[in-house]
Amino acid sequence: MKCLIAGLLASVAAIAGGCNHLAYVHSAVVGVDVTVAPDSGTTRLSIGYDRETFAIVPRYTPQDENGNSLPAQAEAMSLVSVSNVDALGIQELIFNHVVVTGAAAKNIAKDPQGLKMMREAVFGPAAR
Amino acid sequence: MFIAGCSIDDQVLLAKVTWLENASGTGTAMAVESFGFHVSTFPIDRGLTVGVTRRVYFFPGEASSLQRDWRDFVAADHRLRPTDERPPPGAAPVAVLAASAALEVQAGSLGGAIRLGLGKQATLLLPSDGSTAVIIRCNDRGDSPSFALSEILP
Repeated sequence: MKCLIAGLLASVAAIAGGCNHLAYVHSAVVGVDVTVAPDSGTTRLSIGYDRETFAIVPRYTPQDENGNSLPAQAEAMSLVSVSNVDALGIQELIFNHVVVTGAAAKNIAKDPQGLKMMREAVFGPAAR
Repeated sequence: MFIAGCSIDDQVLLAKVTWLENASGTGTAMAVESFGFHVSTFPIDRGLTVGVTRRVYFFPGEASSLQRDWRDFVAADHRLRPTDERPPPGAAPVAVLAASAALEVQAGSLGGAIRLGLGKQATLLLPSDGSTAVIIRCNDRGDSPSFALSEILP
């Protein structure tokens, strides 16, 4: 049985690729949950009830005029988001997000009215 | 309603699939309800589910590549309504809302997982380049979801 589980995990880890995406994740499980992180290969086992909510913001590596990467100047990608994740155990889930990336995010971050509109889009017109 | 059967992405034998689209053409969705086997080849949740599962996959629409003004985009009504239109072949979902009572083996973009029991997962996955905006509002109360993705004028 141990060999079967180890083999399955190895296969799953091999198939899963690395993540170079912006990600918003919610997961809730009642039972047995085994997860493998693609980059680190870290394996996690949970038995019973487990819940997690997280975001992954990838790094952006700028390039010089010759197209060479400048890892010393790497920083998180430009991003503005408003999120509302409500979870009631395993029964109910609300998953609301407004996300803006890139050059548009830089402009909206300077626009109070735009930020208010984002908040209203997630929480409704009553949001302040 | 669940119907016994199996499904591979939207290719179903005896499962229920519903297609949804917003009015601006910036977002579509596919809701799959299956009992038995469900195989997903989408990068976001690639894997096999054995049991009962309900998944809603959210895709960019055919108008998502057009650049829009931010305020027009965020103020628009993006509620999804039933349609016969489908995303182009090969389109990849950027979000998925899944509820399962099943054995699941997944090897998606965010890593691998083996689950046995009741599970609920929601994932939004966006490329790290571009100037993009996404609005997603969904829940498992049965309310009509809202979804839109568009390029935004810098």
